Amino acid sequence: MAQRVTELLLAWGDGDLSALDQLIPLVHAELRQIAARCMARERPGHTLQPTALVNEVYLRLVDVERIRWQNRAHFLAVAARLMRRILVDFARSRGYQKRGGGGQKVAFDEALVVDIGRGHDLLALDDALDELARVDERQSQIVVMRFFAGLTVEEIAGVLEISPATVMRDWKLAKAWLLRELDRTSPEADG
Amino acid sequence: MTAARWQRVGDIYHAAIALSAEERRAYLDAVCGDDAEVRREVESLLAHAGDASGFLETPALELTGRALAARTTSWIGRRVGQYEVRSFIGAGGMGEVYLAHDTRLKRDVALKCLPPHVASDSSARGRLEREARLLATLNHPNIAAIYGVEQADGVTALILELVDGQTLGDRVFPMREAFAIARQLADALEAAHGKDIIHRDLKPANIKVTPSGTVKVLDFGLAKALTDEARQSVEVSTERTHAGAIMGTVAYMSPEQARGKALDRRTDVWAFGCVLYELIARRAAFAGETASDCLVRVLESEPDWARLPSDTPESIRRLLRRCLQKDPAARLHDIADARLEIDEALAPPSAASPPGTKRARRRFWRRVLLTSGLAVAVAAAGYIARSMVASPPVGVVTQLTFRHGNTGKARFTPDGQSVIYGAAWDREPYRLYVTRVGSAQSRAIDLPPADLLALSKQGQLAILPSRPAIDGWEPHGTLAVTALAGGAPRELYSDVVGADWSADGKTMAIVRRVDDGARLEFPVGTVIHQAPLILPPRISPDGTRVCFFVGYGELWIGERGGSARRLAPSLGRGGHCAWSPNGREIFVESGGGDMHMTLEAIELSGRRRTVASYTGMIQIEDVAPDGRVLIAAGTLRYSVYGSSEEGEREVPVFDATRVYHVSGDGKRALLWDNSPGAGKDRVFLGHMDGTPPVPLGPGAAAALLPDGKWAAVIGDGVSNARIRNKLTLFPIRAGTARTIDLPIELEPQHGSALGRTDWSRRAYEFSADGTRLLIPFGHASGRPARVYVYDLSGNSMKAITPEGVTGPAVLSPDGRFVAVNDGSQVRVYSVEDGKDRVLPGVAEPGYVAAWSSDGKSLLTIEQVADLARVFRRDIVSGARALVREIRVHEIAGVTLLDFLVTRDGQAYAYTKSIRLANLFVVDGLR
Repeated sequence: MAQRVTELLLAWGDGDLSALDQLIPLVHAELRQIAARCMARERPGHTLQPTALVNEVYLRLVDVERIRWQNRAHFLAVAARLMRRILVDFARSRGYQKRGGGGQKVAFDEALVVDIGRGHDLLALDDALDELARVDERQSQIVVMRFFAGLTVEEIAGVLEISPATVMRDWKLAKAWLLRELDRTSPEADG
Repeated sequence: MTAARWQRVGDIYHAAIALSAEERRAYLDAVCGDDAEVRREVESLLAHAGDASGFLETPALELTGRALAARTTSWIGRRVGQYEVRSFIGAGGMGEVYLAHDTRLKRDVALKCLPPHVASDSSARGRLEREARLLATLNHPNIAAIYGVEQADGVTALILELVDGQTLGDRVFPMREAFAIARQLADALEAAHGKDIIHRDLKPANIKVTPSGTVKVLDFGLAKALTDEARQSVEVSTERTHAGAIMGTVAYMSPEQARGKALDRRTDVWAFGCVLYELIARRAAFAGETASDCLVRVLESEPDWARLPSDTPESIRRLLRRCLQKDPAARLHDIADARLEIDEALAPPSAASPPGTKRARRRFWRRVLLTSGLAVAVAAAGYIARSMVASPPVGVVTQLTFRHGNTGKARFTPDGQSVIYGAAWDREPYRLYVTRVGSAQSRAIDLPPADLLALSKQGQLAILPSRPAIDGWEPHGTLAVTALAGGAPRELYSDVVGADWSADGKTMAIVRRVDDGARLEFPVGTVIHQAPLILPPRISPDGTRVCFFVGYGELWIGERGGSARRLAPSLGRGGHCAWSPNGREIFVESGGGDMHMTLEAIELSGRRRTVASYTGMIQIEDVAPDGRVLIAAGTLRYSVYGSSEEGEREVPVFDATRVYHVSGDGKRALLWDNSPGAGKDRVFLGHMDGTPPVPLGPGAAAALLPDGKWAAVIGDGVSNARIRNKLTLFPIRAGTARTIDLPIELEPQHGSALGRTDWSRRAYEFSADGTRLLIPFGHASGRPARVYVYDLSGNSMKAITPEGVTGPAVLSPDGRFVAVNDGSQVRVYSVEDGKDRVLPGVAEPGYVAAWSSDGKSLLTIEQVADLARVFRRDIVSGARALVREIRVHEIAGVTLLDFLVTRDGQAYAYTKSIRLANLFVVDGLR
């Protein structure tokens, strides 16, 4: 499976838009898996490390280890972009399906409110990340890679060819910037 | 803000954040100076820094999953068709599951919401509905039922049986419970595989155990139902993930599944192995930190066998190894075989417990008794328990062999401390082995493949070269003698079926096969008895007498160089004997008709006493000088296979069911179930397409009428008593049964009085117009059997062959001729005038199986090991041509029985008999 996703991702990164059609269901399936595990975790006696969980799921989707080195940075960046796009689309409309010619409205399906904490949701973060990219594209990329794709600081440092310390610095500043931006633009702040 | 200024903001921010509030103000004053914009920017970021520390640290994928999970609660209270969603049960890869109430049928069901792409795609929905209809036919106590597909308000949901209980992933089970679970799991898979339905996603999370202990397999076939057919063939790997990652965790994926190859039922066998391993070892067979690790293990590593508890029975270890073969071709191909192995672990004599202390052994028997209750519960659930559940034997039982296959003959060594035996383990031919009593290890003896015939007190071995019984007789061949110490075997006597040595090693008794049956020579060269079938003899300790079975069930005794007399009749399936050390009694096994067998001691006066009773099949092999008894014990069961449009398949039947006739179109078969127990002597109409058999009535199977409307059954059609002088015609559909009185007694085709083992065809059959019935084995009261033709229109019975000559025989389509095997030739008798002639052509092995529809040729079958070859032989020229070859998936202990072909040679059916046995020493029997 991982091999397949990897190929699709590379194809998509190289501009093959149809690859996305095939990728989306894969990720959606994973989402349901995670949802299932989240439900399971509500029951007593279950403790799972969320990060480990997501890492595992992510690795099920993309076989990072097997990417040739020269492709690796490119690939990870593409994977992160993809995850952002899919997750945001998914939140925007749970019934979103690329198949059958674009997003279809399905009864009962409205936007899925993905709470990212601090009273904000994923869709607002998506907008804020666009804003951040205008100020500092690298910081925006770091957030996408870390938050959407679950990459480690070292992996991100490798992709961007900067030191892990710099990644960490950027990450912290970017979070402060994003939180301020979100607080500023949220309805409560307006009112 | 320019990049340079933003860079400056960043630098100041990072410097300031390391400082205390006091220091921070001073630092900002100094570094920002009068640049108010930079200072405002840094301060507002610093104001959010604390709050931001834990922000975005939970990955988006996880948050989305949580949101999705939280959202599911909002379904409660909704109505989908006739179902009211009441509460949330759980979520799987394929969607969330709710408890719903069926307002029409007033029952609770499980409602599984399906992914949106199914709901929005009409072809996907159509496929799902078709698939669900098929799955709905899976009516099995161990499979959670699918009631249907519901589509309402844009939601597509599967309506499923609500199963209470925990999944196998939720708790651990004691070993014996694990076996009982695996047993039910195997039953479920077998039932589904019989309908060509593959689970594809079997894993602990998909298997529930109800509070009453019933196993329910969930989501049967759903993985496929939710898969795009078009993509399935082209892009299996995408399909797999799409319908499910969903399809579950990599840990239970078979190697072929992981490689994205086409799947068949063997993928379930693999997953079954993974589940069973996990049940016992309490950890996954193939675990990894990540999915990639896991996949690599599935593809390349062996499970950690050392993780299995040390008291795991050998049959289970063996089963696991066979299920978890990476190459599907090498894997256990039929889940029914798993059931046999589990039965072996659950049921005594052959239950595999490594020899231990007596106390451990007693504990073991107790454990077995407990589990036998479980097996009965399974039977009560509607399935005939195929296990041979044992009652506790008298004496202490030590298991000697622990392998999968069939045992041959076995003898104690002269000191009684070791046992030498022949066995066909796994797919190997018979070989000789030696084991020390009390050791779990056996060593192969360095000799060519052979079974044991006899062992002398002086350490001489008499062996029979291993070869398959190709012509339906007891295995026979050239007796060879070799020393236990080594040396090349020396061939002595030909056509030997069985042999024994006198205690002084100077005299031998042998049974030889001859044209018209068998003869016993004692000493060699002096014939003391002749009969159609004589089983291997045993010489008394003083060397003056010999005991032997004539056919199964009749014990005889003979004097050296003198005469023989019958000592005990009616010993059931008994066929093996051994002298007590003092020579006063003969130990035999008897009974067996109801799967209970008795170990009896018979005095020379004929007085009998019961020594021990067993449930299951046993046979006595030897008695040691100190009175310990060596037995082989195991299981025997039948399955029926037949050709169908989709290739060969197992015909759903019961346990002791065999096939007796195949309809002309090859689509139906007449089955006879003579399972042990009262009321089990029944005839069924079986279907090659896999639909369940239809009961016709009590009696023994004879043949279907060519019009397909009637079935001829031996018996009065009413009682289960074995009435043999009546023939009853049962209507297949509507109608009234008609019973005919006959002037002779009919025997079902597998009567073994002539000594041929069962597979050779002696089938009943009708002429094309349905007026004449071939009776391959009938006899007038007290007379030897012969072939008859009965004319239903004139109510007349005509003897065809001389007395003593019976089938295999076939009837010409016009009913005017009967072809009968006469040795290796074929003789054709005219029904009208009784004249006969030998068919031209060279003598050849094989036997007549059908007369072609045009009357111009005979179909013959030749069976060599696991290959059955059907030939067409021209009646005029004798020329023969191969029609087809049917290879049977051979496993150890398999014998082919009842091989039947239709007149056109295109359809066939056969019974597969599987005997699996191991050796045991029983101590303390008096």
